[in-house]
Amino acid sequence: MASAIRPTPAAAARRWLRRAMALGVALGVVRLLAPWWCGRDADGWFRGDPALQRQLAEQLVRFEARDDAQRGATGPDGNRFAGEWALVAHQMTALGLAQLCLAHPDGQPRYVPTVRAAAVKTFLPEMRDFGTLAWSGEDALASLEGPHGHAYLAYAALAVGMARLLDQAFPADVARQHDALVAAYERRLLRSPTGLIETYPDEAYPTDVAAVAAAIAVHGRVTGADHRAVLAHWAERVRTVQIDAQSGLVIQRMGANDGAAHDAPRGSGTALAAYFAGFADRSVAQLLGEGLFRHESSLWGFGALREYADGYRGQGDVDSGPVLLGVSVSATGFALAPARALGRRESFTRIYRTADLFGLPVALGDRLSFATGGAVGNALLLAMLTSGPERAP
Amino acid sequence: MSGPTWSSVTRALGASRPLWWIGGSALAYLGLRLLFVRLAEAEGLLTPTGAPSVGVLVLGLAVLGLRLVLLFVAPAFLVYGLLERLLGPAGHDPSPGDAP
Repeated sequence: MASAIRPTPAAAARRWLRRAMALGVALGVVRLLAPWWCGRDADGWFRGDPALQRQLAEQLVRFEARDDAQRGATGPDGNRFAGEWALVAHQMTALGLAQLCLAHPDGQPRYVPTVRAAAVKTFLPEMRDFGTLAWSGEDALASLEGPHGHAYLAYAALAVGMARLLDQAFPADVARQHDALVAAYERRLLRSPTGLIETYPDEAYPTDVAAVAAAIAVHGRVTGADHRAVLAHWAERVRTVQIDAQSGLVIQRMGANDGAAHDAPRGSGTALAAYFAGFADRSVAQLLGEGLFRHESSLWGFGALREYADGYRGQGDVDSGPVLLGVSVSATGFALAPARALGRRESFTRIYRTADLFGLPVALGDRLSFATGGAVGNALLLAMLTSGPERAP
Repeated sequence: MSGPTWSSVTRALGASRPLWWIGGSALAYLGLRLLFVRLAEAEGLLTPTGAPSVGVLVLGLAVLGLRLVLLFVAPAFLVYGLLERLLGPAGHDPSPGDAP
């Protein structure tokens, strides 16, 4: 008698309609709830809410203090937090805190000492060991008259420049090294027909060279030196040599002398280059930002940046971080800076939601930490989320 | 025809097994997140050498997985289950208005 309890076609239809309605409403609730939850702080970061900025800044003050204590206790050789990531962590800490000080000068007494400490650390020999090793033992600061680019040290030069901009008591010996390094970069860049100088032998990264331009520009603001010729040379070569015309992204790795592409046009390099370019030339930053945001993907209010231009494929590497479904962690995180600096509120909000979702922000008393990225991630996010006041006039 | 009453709502919630696993997941998430934050404060999932310790990596992925479940799966389950009960025949209280 199974047929006796089988629902009528009308009852079955009503049941499926009810389920479809419930599913639709459930998905609609998630569509609203998840982006709202992850984007609660997006507007505050975009507006430059000092309370939010200081919470993350305090986490980095604590990081630098702990790093000092560890360094004093074990010496540089025992410090496991050394190398390229350490350079980036200290550089971005200095940049983020310096940007915060420029936006809110009342924070200078609290944060300038940490800006100074972080910037000075970027000039320590162990911070550039990875570059010295790549150049077969040639130290960047011991070979300033030489032809090799050593562009990786521009990250340190930019941090020191921002520290000098804020700190009248910046150590004179480091300032002299900084002057000499910027002079070497200026000479090398002016001599380059491609507007590129090498990071490693036979490898030039337009992103690193954007950091070189940023360091030169900030040095001009600190010392009053006229660097307009070299910055104009760099800006012109970015437009004509380093940007892939079709995608609007910069080529990740190139030949310094011939400008040949050694890699694809990529989002991670473009996003960070757009941030650095802002220190030197707003029009170049705008151009890079326009190319970059053509590669934004969004789903349900969450945004992310695709790593590779159309027609290119690749896996994640040290520059991009993991690449999942075509979008990269680094490109997405770095894109917060141009999104904020260029006033792209909607993109900023979407990308921030993604950073919040995967970054695991946690309030720790008066501090805020994005747990997934650790010290490097927090330093990068502070610099990216406070980008704006550092830009060229 | 009457709409869903307060008693039908509370009955639907009480009978909702997803509430238990959602609550359990939330508690597990809060506990594991606290542990992860303590362990990962210096390095997170990104380390200078590129690869974090396996334990921190597994813990971090577990926390991220639970976060995704709680933000996307749990609300959908909850709302779907609630609406199924409220809109279905069992969700109606018998009342004179329901009688044929």
